[in-house]
Amino acid sequence: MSAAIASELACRELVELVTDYFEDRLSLDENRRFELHVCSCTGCRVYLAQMRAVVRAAGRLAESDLSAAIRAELLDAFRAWKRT
Amino acid sequence: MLAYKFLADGAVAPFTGRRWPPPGPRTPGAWVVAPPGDLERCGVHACRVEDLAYWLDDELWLVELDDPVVRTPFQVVAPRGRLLERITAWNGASSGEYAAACAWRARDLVVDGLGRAGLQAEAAALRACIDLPSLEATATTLAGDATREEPHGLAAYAAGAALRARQGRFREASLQCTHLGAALASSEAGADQERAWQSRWLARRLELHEVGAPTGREAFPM
Repeated sequence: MSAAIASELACRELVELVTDYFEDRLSLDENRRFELHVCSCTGCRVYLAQMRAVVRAAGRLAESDLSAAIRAELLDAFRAWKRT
Repeated sequence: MLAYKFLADGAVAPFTGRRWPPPGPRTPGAWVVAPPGDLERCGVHACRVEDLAYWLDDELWLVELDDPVVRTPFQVVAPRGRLLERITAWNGASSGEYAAACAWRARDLVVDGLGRAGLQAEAAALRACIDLPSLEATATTLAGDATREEPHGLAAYAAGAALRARQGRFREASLQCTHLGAALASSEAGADQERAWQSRWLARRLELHEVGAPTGREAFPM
């Protein structure tokens, strides 16, 4: 849902801020706006839960957990991403 | 002080993912202590009655907060808190009623707006709706392709609230009504007014009382 109130976050903004939210880099006001939005938006609640699950799962991965093939595939993807 | 706290299903804090220790039959839950750091950021957050509509979630609890309690816009914060009892009146049935109340509130606000704009026939059509499907259909037709800045375009908020209420999506029904308040007032004060109305509705329906009273036996008979 898009924001109709000036101080309110839109879903797109929440997606952009989610990393800063997890890393406690939002100001108090931004933090509150972020959480107020989550309380009003089922889609963003689901998104936040998914991101939290990703962080939990990815946090357990070490570089050595990657197979050579996956590592090469990821590097290709990142290189292609930079070119676009 | 006593306050209210919304938690996700299973007494889980919606932002930290922490599960709050439940109270026993005659004893409070264990204290949840905030980690060290800035209290406003890291403390235990809870609601006054007037804050309720901002923090909707699956479960509502009466909590005890330890001093010093900091009052901030939209919430109160304390160094630790514990669950006293669940407000069982907040459940699937009452959240559905709440969503419907928001939809009908949106309808009434749009009817007033249409009346002020001289659109009496449109206002009468909306006023004649007797259930959520008819409200959604009528409001959708009225809104047509109009922008939400036009009087009949505001009916889109009522249509949106009715749709969400039919789906049991109480958060979104509430938000539609809040956005309508902002649009009608052309300011955030209108949004806050709607949240205040919604909080009063919740307090009345759930028979909640103002909090902030000293903790004690009157609130939690031991």
